Amino acid sequence: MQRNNADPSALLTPPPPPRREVVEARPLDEGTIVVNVGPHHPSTHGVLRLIVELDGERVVACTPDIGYLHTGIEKTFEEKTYVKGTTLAPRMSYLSPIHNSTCYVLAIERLLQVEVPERATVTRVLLLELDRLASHLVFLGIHGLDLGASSIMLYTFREREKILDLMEMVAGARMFPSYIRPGGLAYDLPQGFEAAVEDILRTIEPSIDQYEDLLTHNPLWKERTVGVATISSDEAIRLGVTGTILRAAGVALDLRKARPYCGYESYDFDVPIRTEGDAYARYIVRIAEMRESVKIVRQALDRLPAGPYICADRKIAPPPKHELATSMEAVIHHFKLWTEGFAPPAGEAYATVEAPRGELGMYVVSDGTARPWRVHMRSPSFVNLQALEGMVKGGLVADLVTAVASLDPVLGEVDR
Amino acid sequence: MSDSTSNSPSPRTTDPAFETLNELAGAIGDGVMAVDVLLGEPTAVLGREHLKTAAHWLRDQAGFQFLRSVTCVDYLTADPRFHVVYHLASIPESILAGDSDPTAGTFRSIRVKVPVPADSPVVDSVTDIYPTADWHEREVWDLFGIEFAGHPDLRRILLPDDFEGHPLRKDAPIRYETVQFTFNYDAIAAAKPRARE
Repeated sequence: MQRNNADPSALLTPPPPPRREVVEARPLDEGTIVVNVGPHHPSTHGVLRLIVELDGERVVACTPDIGYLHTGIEKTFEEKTYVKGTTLAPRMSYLSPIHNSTCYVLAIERLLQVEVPERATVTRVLLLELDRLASHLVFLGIHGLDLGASSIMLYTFREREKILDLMEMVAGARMFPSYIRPGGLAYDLPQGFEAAVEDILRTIEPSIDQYEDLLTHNPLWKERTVGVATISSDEAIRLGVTGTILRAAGVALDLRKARPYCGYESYDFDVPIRTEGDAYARYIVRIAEMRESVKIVRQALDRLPAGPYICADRKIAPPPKHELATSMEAVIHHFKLWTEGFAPPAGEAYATVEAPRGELGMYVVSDGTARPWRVHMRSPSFVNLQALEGMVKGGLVADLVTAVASLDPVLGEVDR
Repeated sequence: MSDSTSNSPSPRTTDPAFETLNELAGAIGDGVMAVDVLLGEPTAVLGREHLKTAAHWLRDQAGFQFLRSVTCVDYLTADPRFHVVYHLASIPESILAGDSDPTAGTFRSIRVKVPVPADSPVVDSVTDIYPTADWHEREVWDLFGIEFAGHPDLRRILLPDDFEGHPLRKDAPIRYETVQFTFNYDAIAAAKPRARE
């Protein structure tokens, strides 16, 4: 609108009404624009910065910039004894702490060549699957929140709260239980544990039905997720993508079946897959996986045996507290274990577990001393995030949010 | 523990992945310096000039189409000082086709270690064979200072661009640092705790 300020009478005349016309979307004359999404953006699930090149609404390029949460955790491991590392490992991926602990402990146990009692193994499986449930519940809630289906978050966090309460009951901490220890568990399960798990099992399945009622056939939900952020199985394998993203693309790779640990081969469960490889397929796979987890928890609870919760080797497992009052031997073991720690023989082990986000691997190198020489964590989110650019290229900028949410990255795990 | 591990130096020749490594040794000759099963994981030590040949062979001939991780270990006093470690896996046809039954096909995994001397820390990049190596190699470059020849975009990935040094090397300062009431950077550097020898 042009106004001649020099002419005072022009100021008194009312401005002409705005012309109403629909502006056609067109490519920018000057080419593309570059937009920073994050590092502080609610839909980046943490501190992920995406440098997005846009041509109008279309994404031309998307370069993730990571490292904002880098804590040097692998270096810190080298200065801790092996047992102290068990409190460090869960901090990497704060949504699946039990998986991190278990993976780290499995690597140490392979170095030590130690047998784990049955009660500890079954408890691990039980907690691993509850952990997977809790993690998928967060995925579902946040995914809904990102796409504007805010109410789903309130429901999923209701169930997650129960699982966290159970973790608190078992280990004394909600987020970082550090309950899995080399040789077994930190201490025995508390009284009333079975009843608490049964209470969760009673409510979780109707709750999953409730989420599905809200989302699975919801046209708005499908509009935002079907055919969005697709990846083919070949591309996923080339990029090293694992977990639900790979299974939603039709590859039935689940390390619980392919490379069993903690006795998973003796549990009866299915590996849900879809072939579409889009965000909706990932959602369906995760929902189905939650139901499978419930199945495994139920089986583990049924077979939970009595017996020791940690191996009898006093060089690895601390002596029970009551022995310290009566046995000099126990005092010496206790003192040596908490001052020096144990020293696995020199060697290297790569242990993997099927974490909620994919293959979690821990490569532990021992030089024969009480501290690891090197701990490397192959975190699934780090590798999966590489697939983001291919998923969003050529799509709409609004689908970027769907893509990030369906990848379900944990930035603590990406940056370590 | 479900998978049986062996501590003995004699490798389990029944492991199908171990057979693959022996075949690899036959295919590329003396590039393979050692083959062993370390705590259940078939492992080959490979000369760095043979890395790309071996990677091509493993992917195309042996079916190891999946690169799980790339990392590095700094042995500080050893020669060669660094080992770049690759974990590879072969996903069987049945799993690729969507059948998770473990009896239908075996998931095999191997480890390949490439010694790298400290005076020329350079390894060929395998990004053209395994695209997933892109970020892994950037991370190893960032934290260990191993250069990957032929990598399309070898930048720091976790640390800021202006960071000096490579912190996961054993001679990088470790632990907490005491507060220094000085701007003399030589004195600060001298007071920093170093890795154990």
